[in-house]
Amino acid sequence: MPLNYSQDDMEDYANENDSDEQFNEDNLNDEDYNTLYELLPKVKEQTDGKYRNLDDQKIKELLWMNYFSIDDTIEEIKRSYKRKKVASNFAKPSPDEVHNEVSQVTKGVSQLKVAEEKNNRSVKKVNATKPKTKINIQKAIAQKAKKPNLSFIMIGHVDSGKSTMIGRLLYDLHIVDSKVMHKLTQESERIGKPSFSLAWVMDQTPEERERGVTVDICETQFETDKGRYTVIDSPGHKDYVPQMINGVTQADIAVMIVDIASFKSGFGDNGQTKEHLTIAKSLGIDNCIICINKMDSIGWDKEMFDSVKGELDDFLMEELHFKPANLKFVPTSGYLGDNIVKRSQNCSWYNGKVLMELLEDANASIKEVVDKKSEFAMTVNDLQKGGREGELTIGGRIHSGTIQPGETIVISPTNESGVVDGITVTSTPVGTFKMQKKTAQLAIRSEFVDLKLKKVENPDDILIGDVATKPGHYIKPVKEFKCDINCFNLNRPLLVGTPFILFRGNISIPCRLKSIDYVVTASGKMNKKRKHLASSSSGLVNIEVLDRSIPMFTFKQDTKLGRVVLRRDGKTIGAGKVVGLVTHKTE
Amino acid sequence: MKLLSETIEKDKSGELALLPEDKDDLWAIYNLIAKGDLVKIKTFRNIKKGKGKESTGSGSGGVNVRKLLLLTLRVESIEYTPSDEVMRIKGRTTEQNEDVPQGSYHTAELGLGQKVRLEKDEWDEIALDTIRSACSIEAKAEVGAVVLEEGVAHVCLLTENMTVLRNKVQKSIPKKRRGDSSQHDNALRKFIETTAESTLRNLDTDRLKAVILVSPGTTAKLLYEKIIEIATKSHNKQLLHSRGKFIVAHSSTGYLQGLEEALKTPELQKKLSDTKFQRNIILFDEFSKLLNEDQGKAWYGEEEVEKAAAVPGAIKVLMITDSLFKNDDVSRRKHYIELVDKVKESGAEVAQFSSLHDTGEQLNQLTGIAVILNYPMPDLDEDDE
Repeated sequence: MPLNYSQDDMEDYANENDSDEQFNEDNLNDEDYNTLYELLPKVKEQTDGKYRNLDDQKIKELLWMNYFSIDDTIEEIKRSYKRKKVASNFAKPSPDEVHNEVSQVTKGVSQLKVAEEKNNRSVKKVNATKPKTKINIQKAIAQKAKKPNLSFIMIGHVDSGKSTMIGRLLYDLHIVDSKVMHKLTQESERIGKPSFSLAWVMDQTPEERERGVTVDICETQFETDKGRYTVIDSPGHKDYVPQMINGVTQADIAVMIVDIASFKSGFGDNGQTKEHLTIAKSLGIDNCIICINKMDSIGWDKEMFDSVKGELDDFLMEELHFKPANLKFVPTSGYLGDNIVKRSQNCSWYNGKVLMELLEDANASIKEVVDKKSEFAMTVNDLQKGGREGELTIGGRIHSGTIQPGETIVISPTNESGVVDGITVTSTPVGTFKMQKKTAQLAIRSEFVDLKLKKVENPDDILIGDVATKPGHYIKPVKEFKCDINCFNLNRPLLVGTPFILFRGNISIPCRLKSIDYVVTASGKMNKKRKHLASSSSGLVNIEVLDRSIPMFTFKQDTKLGRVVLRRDGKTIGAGKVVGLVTHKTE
Repeated sequence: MKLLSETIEKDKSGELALLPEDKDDLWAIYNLIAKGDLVKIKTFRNIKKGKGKESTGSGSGGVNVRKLLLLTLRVESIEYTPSDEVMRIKGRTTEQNEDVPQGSYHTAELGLGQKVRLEKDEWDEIALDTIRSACSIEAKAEVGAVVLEEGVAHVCLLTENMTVLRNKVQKSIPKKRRGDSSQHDNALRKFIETTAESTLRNLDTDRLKAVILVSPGTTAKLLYEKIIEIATKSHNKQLLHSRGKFIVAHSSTGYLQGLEEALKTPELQKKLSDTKFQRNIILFDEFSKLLNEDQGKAWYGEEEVEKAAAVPGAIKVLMITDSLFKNDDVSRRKHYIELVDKVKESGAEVAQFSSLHDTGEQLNQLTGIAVILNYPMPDLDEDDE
């Protein structure tokens, strides 16, 4: 049998050689060689005698690493080499620089410790690798910033119509074409659930279709002329709140869907309306669009709309402290398509914006600029095994910084590493009906990407919820941390020793309340002796992870990943901010 | 456990010969043995041949011979890890022996099916109770359990005194994607298959009273269907015969704490009504509920409990963990025993929690002792403030 190498395979091998390449003057082609010697004196001119341990060979290597850019090279020399003491006063490292060095040393030490904990497995040193191709990062970022990516999540009580709403949105934006829709309609009619056809755009698995319930989050991306969007569908069923929390951690704003016909059951203590909103707010979502849905079923009754709006307003502002300006209410019918993309003809009393317009506003208000220097971090949200050994595709939202193909990443808590072979962004431009997979030279903060990794030693060790960073910025995993906790309405108190499930980012992990520093009771009294937290009380507590160590952040380090939500026996019992990490020398 | 012989004098001192048959028995013995007790056991020891003086370990010179000896030890410390099924008893020999001089240190291992004689200066009621319940076969009902959610499963065994994790299955399941969920579906199917195989490998369904499958959503049901499918395919008649033992139940999580959550539900309470650990879970839940209401009907901490015990008829249930009895300080143990006796006499229920169950561990964290009262006593902790 003849061996068939696909074009892909050949390319991959070629790349592998590439990123392995070490600097070797003799291997340069003539052009590069000439450039190198042309630039060398220029760099020397600026650096000569000022830095310790810096010789010609090092400069040459740095020049090569920086694609022969003098400025970048000098920048790196400044960063990496100590100035000689003989130089003038200001040649001394500034306090900041000293601090940096110290913290780098500390980091190094902490990494050593981790390695020791792992049965003295030798410290795997991971070196940074340079991107495959040199691009103008600043320009690329500016290009992307013209079309920001807004991520929004549909939340709400079970059967309020979240999946249907997304199906409708995608259909009316001409992202799902009528052929697909026709097929889904036929299929849903076949099992006697014709009203589910729109929801099936997102609900794919046999279980979800059979039960008519969304089980896991599903995200999809689309693109208009002005902006890019990621929509996350989340399950409303009580059992799948963990999945919903996972979705919230990847969203910028929430779209709450409320079924007006069964508002009371969803809004009650056993419904998910309040729980979802509480979770969203606790995890840092400050903007919320509320779709009062299924308005067609009550004949677009304005009075009912107003009374439901009032009740929600009270809860959102008084209990959850949302700012009134950050709340938008829209009367909708997802099934019929009223006020989603097209303005409803049935609802003359509403003259506000329709859902899509509100999303466009939210997108336009994204102002965050990506700082070239901010460190890359991404939580692993999806994993797909590659075809060949050591290959793995991780999906997720880039939390901060930038990443380019060719760069190496390390993954906490296992210290696995891999080289980014390719970056893919999947999106559907409005009106094209086609899902496009685009490869990217650069991916930045807030984008949803798939990173194809190679040279991963143990792909099985990487789990959803792990945190990827660049080498040198490895997040040290911990088993214990200090947390400022607010308890919600509890049926059982949170006792010292009580196990619960902790959510941080998209990790959910069993934990235990290890100790309580102090409790502030509902009436505002401080108590240091208590060993339990009751309803509506708050306190400073120590939390112990009962499973493997996990990468954690304090709220100061990261306002999003430094937040936690606590659940027990299927109820959300509290939320809090991490204030300190506890590292132990030995397990 | 088999009680092979029993000689207890009027002053309550005496000797018992015991034969542990399962992990629970070892746990019972672990809780019985206190510092200063005498243990007579057959044990291996490395003896240096050709020298009058013995020395332990693999020191240089001489030939080491491993010899089976019958030694009596005055206990200094013991260690027991439930997953190992072996207990290490360390002490000094009390009798001269051909190979071992009096007073030499020795660590003996006690495993399943190994006879041991235990001599105590005083056999108290709690100790005798422990023996009695370890010897009764009815109390030995074991239950298997699988707690799972998509991507993680815990296969465990519940005995009267402990929860043992037999295996953990973990698998990252890719997310579904719009237009294609095949990777997700395949990975989920594989995960359920692996879990079903692990369940059958780690749990002996013939011997168990029941096997509880617990998960959020329908994952447990999928697992049940897979197990029956495997049984049918392999014509495993025994397994098909015990299909009635499988109970599918609901929890909010696939981590171990989901088990406790499921055991609290009325359906499982009915099915497993005569097991002690479940009774304890319910008691602890009741206690938590009362504590949350903050009406002064639930208290923890030794001082508080003692104050309540001083009022006859005030205590409804006293909850205490075995680790309080497992105290090297004899007077402390006595103190707790007296407290328990007093509460029992007043007609209250006394529930002893095993610290190898999660509820016991939780109670341990709350000082190890707690009470549910018949009526509110709001200010039991007042003096301390």
